[in-house]
Amino acid sequence: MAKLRENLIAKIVAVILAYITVLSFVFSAVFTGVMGYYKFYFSNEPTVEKEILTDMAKSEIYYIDSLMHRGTDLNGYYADKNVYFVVTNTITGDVIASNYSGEEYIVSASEEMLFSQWFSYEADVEFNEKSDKITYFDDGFEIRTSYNIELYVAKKMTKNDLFSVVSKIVKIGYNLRYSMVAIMLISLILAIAVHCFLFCSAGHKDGEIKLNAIDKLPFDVYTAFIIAAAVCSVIGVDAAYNLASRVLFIFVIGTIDYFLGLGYTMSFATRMKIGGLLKNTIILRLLKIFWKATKKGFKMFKYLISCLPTIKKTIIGLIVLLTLEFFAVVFVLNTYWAHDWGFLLFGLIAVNILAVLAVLYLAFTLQKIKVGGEKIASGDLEYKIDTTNMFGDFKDFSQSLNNINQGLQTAIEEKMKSERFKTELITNVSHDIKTPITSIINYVDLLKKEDIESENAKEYIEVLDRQSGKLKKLVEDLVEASKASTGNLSVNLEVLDVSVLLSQTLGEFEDKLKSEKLIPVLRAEKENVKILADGKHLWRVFENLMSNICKYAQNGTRVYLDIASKNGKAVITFRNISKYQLDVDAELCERFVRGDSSRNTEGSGLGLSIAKSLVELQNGKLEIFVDGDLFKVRIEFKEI
Amino acid sequence: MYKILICDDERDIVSALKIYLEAEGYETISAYNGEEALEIIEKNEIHLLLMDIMMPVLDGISAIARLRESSNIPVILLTAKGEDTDKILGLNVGADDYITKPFNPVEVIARVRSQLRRYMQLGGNITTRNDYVIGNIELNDSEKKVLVDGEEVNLTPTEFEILKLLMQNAGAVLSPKEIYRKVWNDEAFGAESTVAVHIRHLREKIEINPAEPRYLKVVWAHGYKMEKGV
Repeated sequence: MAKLRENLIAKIVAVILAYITVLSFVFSAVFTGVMGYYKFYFSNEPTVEKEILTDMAKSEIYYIDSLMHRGTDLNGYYADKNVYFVVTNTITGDVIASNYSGEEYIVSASEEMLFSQWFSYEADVEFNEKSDKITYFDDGFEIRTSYNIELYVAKKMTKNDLFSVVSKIVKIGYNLRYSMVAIMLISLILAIAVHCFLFCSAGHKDGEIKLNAIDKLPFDVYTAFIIAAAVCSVIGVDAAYNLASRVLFIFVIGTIDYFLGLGYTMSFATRMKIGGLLKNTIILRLLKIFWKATKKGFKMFKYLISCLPTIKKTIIGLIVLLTLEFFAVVFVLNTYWAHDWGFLLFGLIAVNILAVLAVLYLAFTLQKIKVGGEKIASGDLEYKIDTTNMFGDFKDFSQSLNNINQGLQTAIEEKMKSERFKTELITNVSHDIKTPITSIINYVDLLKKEDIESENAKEYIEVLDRQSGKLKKLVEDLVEASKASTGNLSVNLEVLDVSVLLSQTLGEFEDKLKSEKLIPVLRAEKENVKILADGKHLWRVFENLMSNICKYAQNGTRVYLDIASKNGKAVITFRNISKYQLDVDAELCERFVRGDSSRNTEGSGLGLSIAKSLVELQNGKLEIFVDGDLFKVRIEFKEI
Repeated sequence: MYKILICDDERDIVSALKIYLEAEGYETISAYNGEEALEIIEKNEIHLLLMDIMMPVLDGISAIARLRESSNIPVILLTAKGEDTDKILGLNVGADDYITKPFNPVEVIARVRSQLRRYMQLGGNITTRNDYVIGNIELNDSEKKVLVDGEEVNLTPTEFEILKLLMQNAGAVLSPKEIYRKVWNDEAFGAESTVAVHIRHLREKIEINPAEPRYLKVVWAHGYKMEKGV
């Protein structure tokens, strides 16, 4: 079977066989059908013959009528036929034409003909069925009478005509009436078998299933062609003017159609086997192209919309809505619903409710974004705007905000990490530095106690002593500065009396101030100014500021310390006259920055930086003002 | 003579301390980690231990914890860690005092002397004569005398009154105003810094390191107090 499937000759034979079997089936089926119609299987042969001949005689009567109108000589025409006729005027009873002279006949038929039957298409004719006259309205046509046609089929058919042929066929057919059924059934089974084989083997070639040129034709085009062929066939068959030509036409066109159909079904079978039947259709391709174009167009449209700023979008949306409403109103007013105001009103209300809902939704979304923005602005880096139920610009915007938040969070985390790392590094390094410094200080001290003759050596030891002391202070300040600036200190805020702290500070610095010939002036605008701060840290701030004053204030000047209360703020000011010219641009609070760029004075340059950091740690504010030689530090805390 | 064990992993520091302490007439033994120190203490009669915290093999804190199971000799911690928490930890574990690096040799000697006196004399006979005793500070009101580590210090009458007031109220914070009112018997009108000056002088006289007082403490923005349980 598999080999047979591949064989071209087998296929050709099968096609021929298929055609023959189908042909024999069609013929036998038609014959069987016709025989069935004429009751070949239920009555005897003479009855069947009579019936058929009666039918034929009836149709012959109409033929005679047409011949009469054409003016053909009836006697001449029927001279070589096995038929006799008698035409009688029904009114007068006159015999118009006849060749019948009492011969023996099998069947007879008679019909009353109306003249008008033949001419009715030429004029509007109205006739009375009861009357024998025909009335013409428009012109004076001749009025003719109706007539009766009788027809007799001769019993002994001596002449060769359709009647004798039919009579013979009926005789043969009657004998073969059961064989015909058998032929029909056999050929049907054969036809089915052969077609099955053909459909199975369709497309098989060289061990695989292949599409031939026809199979590659788009399926819908092929189908359309087949349908067109079928329609043409029907029209062609219809165009045939008589039975014989019609049979011929049916045979020829049917054969062509059969082969076309066979090819089509086989191609269909091949396509089904391969798959992709629908893929190879022009319609699908066109649909695909159309779909793609639509999608592209929609994308373009979306892009265009997205290019428009939000305001423009809103305006366009509103314009579209209003226009639609306007047209809807105009439309409704022009229809029979115009009188029904309720309907119009209902439609408008419905549309506007939708619009209001849309606006509410937008407002709600905006509110969400606003809240998110505020949260982010206030430093809530964990906050995320919920973007579900959002679309378009709002979604994009919310996501951007979320991304900003994410970015900020990452940046801050990085920063915190690096600051922590820095503090840790400084703490560790300074700890490691402290040990050698201890040795240096101790041995310098021991050197000092040795008996050294050289004056130079004594001087050098003095320098070592001073510088190692400075180094020690520097390391301590460095640790403190890094801790203070990173907030790596514990802060215990409590209610403090500023004036007490200031007087304590002055007490601590009394000696130093005296030795520098500085005169402190403490002025409290108000008693008991209370603030919330950490006593230890604030003391460090004041200590740093005071030691700065001791180092940098001009000898013999006054140092003003003021406590004031302004708008619920406690303001503490330190003012002094600088010994050195101050570099106004210098950011004195920055680490390692000093008013004198020469750096030849004592101090680490960290004092102000530490002070500022510490004040900020306690939620205060430290500002520095330089006005000529006047150096002013202003510390601000919230008063309690 | 008193035997002092110096324990630090930094040999230069150990030898420097050795020089200072021997110059003062103390006998010294060196150790370079906690384990060594404990061994030496077991074998020798040691009167005082000077020890670093961060050391290899056995650190100072663990060494003290083990030492305190068998001995109550005074221990002074030498620490580079300036953190308050480290000091508190050291004191809680059983150290008697601490000195932060980089230290002043004079301070070391003073603290060593102070601890030795307290340990060796045990102060039993001293207390009976004096009205107020806090740590190594003794105040005798009738004789108007103040002894620090058994040695008399010269205080002005005002300083004496302030110290008495603070020792009477040991542990409590007294504001400059209160101190002024009680010592001067007058209202303080902006004279609080006078109190501060006197306190500072007092601190310089009774404290080994006035910048890091152990007894007379400044409670910033509130006042002053005498530590109670030193």
